[in-house]
Amino acid sequence: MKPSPLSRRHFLRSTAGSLIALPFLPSLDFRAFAQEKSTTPPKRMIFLGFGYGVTNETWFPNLAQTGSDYTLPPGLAPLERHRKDFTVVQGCTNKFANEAHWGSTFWLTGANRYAEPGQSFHNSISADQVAAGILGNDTRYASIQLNTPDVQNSGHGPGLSLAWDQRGKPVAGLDNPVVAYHRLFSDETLPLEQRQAALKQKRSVLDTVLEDARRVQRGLSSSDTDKLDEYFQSIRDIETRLGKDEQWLTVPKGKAPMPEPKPGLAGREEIKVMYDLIVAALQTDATRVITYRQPVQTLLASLGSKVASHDMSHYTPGERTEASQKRDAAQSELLAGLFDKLKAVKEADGSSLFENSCVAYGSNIRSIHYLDNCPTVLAGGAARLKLGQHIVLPKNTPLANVWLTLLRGIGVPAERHGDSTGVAKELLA
Amino acid sequence: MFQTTQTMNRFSWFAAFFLTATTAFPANEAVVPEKHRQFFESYCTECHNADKQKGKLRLDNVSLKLDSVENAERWQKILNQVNSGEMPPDDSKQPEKGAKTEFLDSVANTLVVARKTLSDQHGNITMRRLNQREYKNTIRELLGVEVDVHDLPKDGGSGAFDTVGAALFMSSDQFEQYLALGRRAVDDSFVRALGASAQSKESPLRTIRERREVELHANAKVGGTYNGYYKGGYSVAKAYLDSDRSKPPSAFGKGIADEVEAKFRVRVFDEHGPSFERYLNDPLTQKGAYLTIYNVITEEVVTLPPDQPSGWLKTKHEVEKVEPGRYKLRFRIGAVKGTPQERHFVALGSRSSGTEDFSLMHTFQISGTIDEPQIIEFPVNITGNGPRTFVVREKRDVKLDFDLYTAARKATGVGPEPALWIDWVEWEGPLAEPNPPAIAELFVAENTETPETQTARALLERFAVRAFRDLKPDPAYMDRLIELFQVRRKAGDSFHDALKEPLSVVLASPGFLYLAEPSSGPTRRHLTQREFATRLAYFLWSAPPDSELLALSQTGDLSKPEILSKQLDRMIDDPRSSAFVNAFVHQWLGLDRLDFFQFDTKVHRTFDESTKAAARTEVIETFASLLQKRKSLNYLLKSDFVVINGLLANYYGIPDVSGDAFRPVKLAPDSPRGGLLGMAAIHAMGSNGKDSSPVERGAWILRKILHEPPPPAPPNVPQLSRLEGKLLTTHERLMAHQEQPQCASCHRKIDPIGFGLENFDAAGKWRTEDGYEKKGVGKKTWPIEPAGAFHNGPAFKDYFELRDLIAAKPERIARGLTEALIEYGLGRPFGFSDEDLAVRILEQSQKQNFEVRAFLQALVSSTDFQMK
Repeated sequence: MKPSPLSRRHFLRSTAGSLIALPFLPSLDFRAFAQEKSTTPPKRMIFLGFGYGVTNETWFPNLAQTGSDYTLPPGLAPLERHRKDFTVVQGCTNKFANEAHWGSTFWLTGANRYAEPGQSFHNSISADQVAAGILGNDTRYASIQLNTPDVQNSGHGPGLSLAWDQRGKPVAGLDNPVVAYHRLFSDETLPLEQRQAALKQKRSVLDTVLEDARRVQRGLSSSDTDKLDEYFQSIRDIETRLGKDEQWLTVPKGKAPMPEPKPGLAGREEIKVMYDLIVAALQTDATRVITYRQPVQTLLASLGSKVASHDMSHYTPGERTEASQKRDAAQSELLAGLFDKLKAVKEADGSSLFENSCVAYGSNIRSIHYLDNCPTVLAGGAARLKLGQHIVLPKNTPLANVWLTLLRGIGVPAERHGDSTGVAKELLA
Repeated sequence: MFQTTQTMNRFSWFAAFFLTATTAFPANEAVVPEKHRQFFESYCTECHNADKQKGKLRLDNVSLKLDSVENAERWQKILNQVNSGEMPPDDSKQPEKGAKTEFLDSVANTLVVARKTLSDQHGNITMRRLNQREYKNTIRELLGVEVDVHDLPKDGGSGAFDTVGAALFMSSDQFEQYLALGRRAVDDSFVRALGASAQSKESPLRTIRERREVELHANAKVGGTYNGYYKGGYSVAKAYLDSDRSKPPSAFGKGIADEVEAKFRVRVFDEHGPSFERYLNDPLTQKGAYLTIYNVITEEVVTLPPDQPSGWLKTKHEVEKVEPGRYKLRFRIGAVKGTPQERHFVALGSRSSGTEDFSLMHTFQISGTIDEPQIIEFPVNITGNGPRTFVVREKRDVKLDFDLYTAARKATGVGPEPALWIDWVEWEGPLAEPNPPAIAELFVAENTETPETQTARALLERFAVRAFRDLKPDPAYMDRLIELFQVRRKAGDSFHDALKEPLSVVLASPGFLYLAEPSSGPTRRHLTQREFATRLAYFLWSAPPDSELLALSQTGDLSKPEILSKQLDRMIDDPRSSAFVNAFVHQWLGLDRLDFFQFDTKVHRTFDESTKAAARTEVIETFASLLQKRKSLNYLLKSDFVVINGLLANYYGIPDVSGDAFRPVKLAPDSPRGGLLGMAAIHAMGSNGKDSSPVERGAWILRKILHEPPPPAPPNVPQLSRLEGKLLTTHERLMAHQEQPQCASCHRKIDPIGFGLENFDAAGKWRTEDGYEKKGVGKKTWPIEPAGAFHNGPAFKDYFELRDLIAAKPERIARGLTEALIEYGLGRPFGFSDEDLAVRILEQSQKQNFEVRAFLQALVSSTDFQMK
């Protein structure tokens, strides 16, 4: 008789559990060392951006009902069970945004596309990367960028993820959950010595290409030098990463608190598994800053809608509006699921991961071609925000003020961000 | 120019066109016309003046000249405020609709001009890296292998061509991908290089031909499913149901859990059994296999080891695994007599291991019969990690299978009659092909006299020179490469294996990845001959210069007019120029919109993936044909021929065309086809996959054909919602655009053109009626009314007149093509400082009746093309 598959799986699970305990110890040690200053859990930031905006009429709470006593409109209704733990903010705008289909390019940066004379595109650092500059010091990855493969049809605009680096260049994102999973949790199986040798070899590879980069650089015009500087910066970034790799060489990656994702997930399933990865990455302290640029077209398709995402965003009464509303609700439901998971994870001091995280969810596009009153939901306890609220800020408050508030809230000493004019005090507890 | 007077007659409208064709096109000064100052004085300055400055804004002294970023920003805000309806405020005096429309139109267009002026790069070309296509082609030219560039980030995205340096970024992740891809390519090319010289029987690299008689597999699968699941299940279920039920189903046989399942199995046997029986009883299934729809056996596969067809009958592959390289797939196939012509197409797709996916590669028209089948042959590149399973099935949208099957079953008791029969499938490879020089050089017999390091250094340097497109690397760089070699050598690698790491590092070095053209100082300089050869090659081939170009550059002859002209012809005639045609036409005409949505094949049944691909190819092949055959661009506007294949001929209802090659086909005089306006792809882009979109089509024509691009869709324009729940014709719905000035300012130009094309449905088929159905409201149909008039321009009574009016203005599309070529070829956005260049190219090509090749000729021989 064949062994029952249940008992076999059971067996594997139990052995894996006991096996993992030993190599896990040094990792705990290392983290204890890294966080010597305090025993309180670290702060985390999550940014979730969804390109095309929301259904104006059914997503935003009534402007007349502010404070904690407000009705959640249908588009946000699936978040009801968390209503005390998040805040809906209205009134924010990236005043320079002028492309009606770019929902993510300037969302976290608040930059002026035309700020550089003679250039048709300019951007500046995104809020998550500012946070990563501080929160990223003690983790294996300073930040993780997740992305959807459905970029083309999701109203995001130029960029490789939600993140833009110090020089306003796009930061690449992982658009495959399986790859992201392995980046976070799969350890190199090679012996330490060989991994050290591999690191050394990687460094000599970098030295080699730099040698050629210096040749190319000779006699370049200033704009070409800027261009080649992207290459130099890429190499420097890898060097920083190698430095980190070296520092973490003897520390095994955290044990994955989730199974490896199935390949080829799209739409709702993709978002769900990416949310799982976000929780898993934060829980294991692989990183403390995560962004995710979400799909729209494949989400619609996975909800059984045939409407194209762009048409959906230009909802006319009937099929398109229905699709738009269905999508709002589905996203809120997924977000509620993420909150559930963040709340369920307990930290060393007994608090929940949710209490130590700051979540921002939204888009640069309100709906259709509207770029004012960017839809914004904030949650989590890390940034000392007033939660459970519907807050209406003065019209056209820079969205960057919100980002600045979050950054200061989690302890990043930023003076300003993008086109910010100051902290939005209304948001603070 | 269209906004002069309402009474402008047809003659002067054309006169205006011809005038502008030869003079400077758009004003290169961004100035809001003085007449709009009155608009300000009437509606704005009461609050926004020197004393009041409401909202800290003063408009009484605002400059109409948009000559600085600040001033342009201020005007952008003014435009936004008026567009959103916030200004003038509701409680103050409102402008009259017409005046507001004119004001918005004027400001929006002035801002477009201002953005262009302010972002003009004054001829400065930013150095760029190879884009995905160029990288792939360059690796192929250098190493003779294909790389899968799918993992590299997408190029462009900010609306520029993918050759524009400023929009091509580099990141650390990307650098690491270049390293990994380069390594994979080097590995593959080494395998291939060894294979070229290893044709002995034992070698895993000898060319193998493996044929599979499909009936073995098919009959095992069909028979097994039928006898096991359907018939077997039926007899057990039936016996149980007919019994007194004192015993459980398991007493009668395996596989039935309960009564519900028993009943289900009886039903599915009744429904599907006959289709299986028909298949198995057909004598032809003893010699081959039918390709059916929905049920029985819907596809055949060609698998290269280690992949296998399916669990039903594993093939005994001749070898366990084949190495990367070029292979040929073949299958022998015939169409079933009496089935409709439109079903005589077979689609070939690839499938990644362990999935059920189907990624369309090619569609073939089948003219062979069962008595005289034809052999289809198709070349494929097998890479280390790419697909090895290839699927053959009848061309169709499989999403419709169930409906088709059910309908046929209800009518005849069995599924649709199969239309295709397949005899066998086979693959052959890896094909022995000569190694490209860069690789061949690495494998010449070593001179044992020379120290190994010295040999390695010489080989690596020669490779780097080729990879850097005829440029010598620095000695210090060579030292580093040699160190990498030595480390691998010490680690125990063989001589050749130890070369792999430094070789792949070369492929991630700036000298390879960037097209660098050094230039110190502010003055522009002439390109060196080598740089010129490189620019030319990447322009026309998206690939590095070949030995002929490099030889001419070394002798300094390349830029001599008569030689350059000959080289241009040679390059266009070379198959590599298809890279230019594909990439350029795709981006110039915005064909990516074809992929923005899934077509609703319930409504447009035959517009499946194969047809869509063919429709896209028609646009490309038409341009290619004009370029190759030295024909005029005018044929894109109106022509008495189309460039199509059998599939599209079938789709368009054009008789007597069969086969898969695209070729010119003469049209009947009254045909709506011929030229871009008659192409299915263009109309499909102007739709949402189900309904036609006159707005998308009108805007596209203005942008691409008439060169009068409407300003970008403005943010924050109020939504029109008052038509909710009403049954209206497309015309009636879009007339709402004319009500509000914010909409009318652009839509009065866009919509009439779109209405003139309403005879084409969303999939580009001709129609005379359209309809709309809404649940709970009702249904409405209406005859197409294409008649209309250009805004402030001539009227047309139908599509044909509209097409004639557009075809009478070839200068327009010529201008658009010129600007696009400059941007693509020089790798920077078209700017106002390019005005002279554009005019020269236009003049030169106009002399040759706008021959497509003349545009390229004029561009590459211009001074700008040969300057950094």
